Amino acid sequence: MKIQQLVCLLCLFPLFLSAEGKKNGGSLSGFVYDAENGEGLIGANVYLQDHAAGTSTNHNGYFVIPDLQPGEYKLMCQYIGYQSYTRMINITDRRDLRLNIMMQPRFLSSETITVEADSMDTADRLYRQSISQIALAPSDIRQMPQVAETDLLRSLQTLPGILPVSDYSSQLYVRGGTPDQNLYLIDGADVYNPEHFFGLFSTFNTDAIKNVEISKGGFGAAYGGRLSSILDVTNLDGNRNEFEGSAALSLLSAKTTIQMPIGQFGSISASIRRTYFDKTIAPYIDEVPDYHFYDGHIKAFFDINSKNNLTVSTYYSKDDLNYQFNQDNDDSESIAYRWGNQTLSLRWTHIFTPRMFSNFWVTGSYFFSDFNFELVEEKNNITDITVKGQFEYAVERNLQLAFGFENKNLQSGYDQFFPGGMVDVYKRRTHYIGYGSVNWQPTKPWQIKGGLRYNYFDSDETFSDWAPRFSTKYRLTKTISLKASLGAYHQYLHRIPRPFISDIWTTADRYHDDSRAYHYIIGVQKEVADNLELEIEAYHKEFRDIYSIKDYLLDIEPQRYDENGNPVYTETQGLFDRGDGKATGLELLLRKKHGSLTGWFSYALSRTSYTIEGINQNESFPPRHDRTSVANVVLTMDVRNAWRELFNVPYRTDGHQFYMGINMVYATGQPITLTSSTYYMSSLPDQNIEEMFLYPSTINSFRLPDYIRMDLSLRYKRLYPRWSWEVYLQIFNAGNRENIWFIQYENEQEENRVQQKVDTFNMFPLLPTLGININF
Amino acid sequence: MHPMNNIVKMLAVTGMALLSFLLSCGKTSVTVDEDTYDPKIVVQGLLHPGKPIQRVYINRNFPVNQTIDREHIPLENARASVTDLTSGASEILQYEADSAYYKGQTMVIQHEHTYRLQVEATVEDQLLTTQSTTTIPARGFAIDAAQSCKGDIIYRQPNADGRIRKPCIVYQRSRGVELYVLSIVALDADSSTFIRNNPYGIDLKFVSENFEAFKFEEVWSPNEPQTPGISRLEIPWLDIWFYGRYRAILYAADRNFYEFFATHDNVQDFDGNLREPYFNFEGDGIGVFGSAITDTIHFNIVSGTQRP
Repeated sequence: MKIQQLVCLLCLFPLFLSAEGKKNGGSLSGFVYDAENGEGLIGANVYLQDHAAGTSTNHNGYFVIPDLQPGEYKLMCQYIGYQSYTRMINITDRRDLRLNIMMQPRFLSSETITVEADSMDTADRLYRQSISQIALAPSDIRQMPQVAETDLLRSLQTLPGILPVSDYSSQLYVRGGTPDQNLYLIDGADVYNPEHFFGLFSTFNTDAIKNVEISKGGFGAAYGGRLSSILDVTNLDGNRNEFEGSAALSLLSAKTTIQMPIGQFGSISASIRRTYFDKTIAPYIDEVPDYHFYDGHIKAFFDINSKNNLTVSTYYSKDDLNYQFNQDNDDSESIAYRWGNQTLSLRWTHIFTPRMFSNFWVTGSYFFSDFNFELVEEKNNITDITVKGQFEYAVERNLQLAFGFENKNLQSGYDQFFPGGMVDVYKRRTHYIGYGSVNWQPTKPWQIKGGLRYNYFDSDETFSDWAPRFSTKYRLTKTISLKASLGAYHQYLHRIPRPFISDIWTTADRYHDDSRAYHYIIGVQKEVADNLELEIEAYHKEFRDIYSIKDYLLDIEPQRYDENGNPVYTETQGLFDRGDGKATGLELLLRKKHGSLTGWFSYALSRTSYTIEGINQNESFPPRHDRTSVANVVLTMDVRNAWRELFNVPYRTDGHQFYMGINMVYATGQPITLTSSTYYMSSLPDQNIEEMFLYPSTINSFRLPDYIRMDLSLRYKRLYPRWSWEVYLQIFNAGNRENIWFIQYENEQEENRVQQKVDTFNMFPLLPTLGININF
Repeated sequence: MHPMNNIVKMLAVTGMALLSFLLSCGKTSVTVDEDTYDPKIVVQGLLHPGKPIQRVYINRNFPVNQTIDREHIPLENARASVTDLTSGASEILQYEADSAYYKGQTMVIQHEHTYRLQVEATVEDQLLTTQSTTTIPARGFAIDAAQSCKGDIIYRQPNADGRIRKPCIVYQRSRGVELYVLSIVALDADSSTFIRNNPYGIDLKFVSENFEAFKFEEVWSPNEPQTPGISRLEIPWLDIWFYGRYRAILYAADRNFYEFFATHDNVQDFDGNLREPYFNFEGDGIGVFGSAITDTIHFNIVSGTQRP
């Protein structure tokens, strides 16, 4: 059967299901919204008290509880940070009740409010959460002390199993994987190379974010295309009730976000951020290059009717560097480098029947980078046009189906002109995906989820793979859940990482197979005390056919030669070394989500090893991102309420808020290859300049000293009835510890004697940042 | 909860925060010492067709962080021999104290013959042995002086279309060559000939501190066709820092020299980590034993205002 026919069949399948079959009573369905701004709430807990019936809202805020016998029920809804919702409902015979739930946030305004315990049952929430999945609220991210300003990816680096490779990079290394193995989604659209400032910051503007979920492994059949993680970012739909805005100024950038209703049927949100030191510092200091970045996002939500809504979301980012080497010389050579992302996603949400929920997307993603210097001219881009559909069908109260399709059209282009040759690689690839999964609750404590994902990747060769997924949960006691998951994952994209310049993406082809990973995860989650959650997970991950760029590109065969005999490269042959790998680890996360002291403690014990053909005599070695132990403490203290708590005064919020934040990181030192010896010779016989050269030891056989860092933040927030302002001071690496990134070797020559010196290149020193935020 | 319990909890949290702060202060260091050291014979030998073996430099490696006396680097008592594997002839190399090179006497290197170097030496009381083979490229390589830039070349002179013209070398390729590398030496390099108004913002002070790195430059071209024919190599202006006379030697080198040249000075990755260079030695050797055909051309760089 042709792949297109299979996709058509998948599209038609929902129509059969939507023609309601067996019906065992009525159903309750609807959306859960924030009453203040009308945003749909993801993962809200909806259940009928005293009945074994409950569910949680999906990514659109939709829920359905099917098969309800006629009668009166007490409906409860809980969501973290919101007051409990309770209402009596009446189900009549075989009638479907549609009910939208409006949840009131706990903190409304500057009025003094005494706050009671949070409404959400921690143990229930933990049980509903998928294995290895962590959700971060934008407020968690904003409270965390960081470099210059809030950054989403740097925040995620504080979670167990997610690592940076250095202070200078926001990239994520998840459970032994490399950054190319992470799928970044903004409102359903893939984002390639989400980096600003040469990788120092990520492209996600945290003021525009509504919800962040990262899945570190074991993800279900709905997700794929990457081996290690899925970062799913949902931006704000916009306030459906009133105009709302925020503005912020940090040492790095200025930014603003606005949200407003569009009549009675929708909302819009928009945000923009721009750095400004090209206007403030660069004109006065020659050494500072003319550099800036900006990003912007617009999202509109249209509530067409009770069964249909539409979301249009677009994102644009650009980094722009111009550096003229000799400012006094009009003929001066310069470097010009521009790169950025553009995404557009159109999502149509359709409710076929209360049991049959669907989303359809058309998404586009474009990454570009242009580099120009005297010797080298380079254009690097990737375009991804995707059509996808996702269906959820509640067969019975204890049986749900999810299935969908995806068609991804990729175009990647890379042109480089360099002295003595050129690279001209242009590829078009098509990826068809179909998946289905069954979520079955055979008895109350058990939940079993099985899924299958089919990939058909059309390159200059075709790849066709089945990827099974399985997960299960068992509620051992009211407060303890056991979870397990395993699955096979395929990745058809390979990446050429580059220093301080955007990565190049290539695909599986006749020279390179697809990469595969197999995840095996077990975990236990427990509510250890009131509002204190503990998660422990152990994992083992096997990598097959992972590709790393060759250390030296000596054997790339040109496909042809130009008229001057210069090589022209149009294929990826000879670029990569093939390898396998494995990662094993144990992770612990102790987290407190509300109260005067919030935050988490995380610890990860892990071991990663790669075996790359042609490296280390084909023996395994630890990659640079391997860390034996990593511990993070992220704490935010609401100082005034902490003081009240000391004297048993009830927790409350009022017009003055004062927060202190700490982020403490400990990590075993990175593996490093040291110099085993030095030797003396000249590179070319006629030049008669003898130099010292380094001869390395066995790859990554030594460890740098342990990495330790503490960041601090102080925030004061003043709330008025219609607006608020906040000032903050953040100190990155408050102890100014000199953590080593790598080792530098220098030769000092006197007469006939050479002294070789070893010096270190360190991570960031103490970096203070000031900023102000205004909300209106 | 009793207020006292809360105070104890708060004090514990504060104490842990202070302890963490103290841990997060200070300086770390790395010791690179003799534990990482592994003695090696270092070889630098390049055979040229039509000539006897003249310059095989045999020395040793050293632990890092040591002061090295350059006069005591060569291994004077190594046993070195070269065998022509094509003809079966063999020759023991003799150490010449004045030049510190091991040399042959009778054997003349032939195009397309394969030679094996064998070395045995004692380093740090350890007897080390190594060997390597090279195949000499076929004849045919030569610079086409008529087509190459020579004589006076004006610094960064634009063409009629506005593009800046670069000095270039045109040459005939030959079989068996894996790398063409042009070694450029500014023969008149000194502070008076430095191109002060260069478009790269490099000043004389910086050049003086790294003088040899600016005086000696190289341009290389790997992956050219393995068949005879004509190629052209342009010299970027980034490799020209002085006015005056230049000597350019073009090496048409074998695979061994290509791998050595492309990797030995490039072992530190962008993240600071080291990677292994490609040396074609069996046993305890590092460095290069390769072969190359060479040809030379001269040119002068003059400023637009100096043009005769």
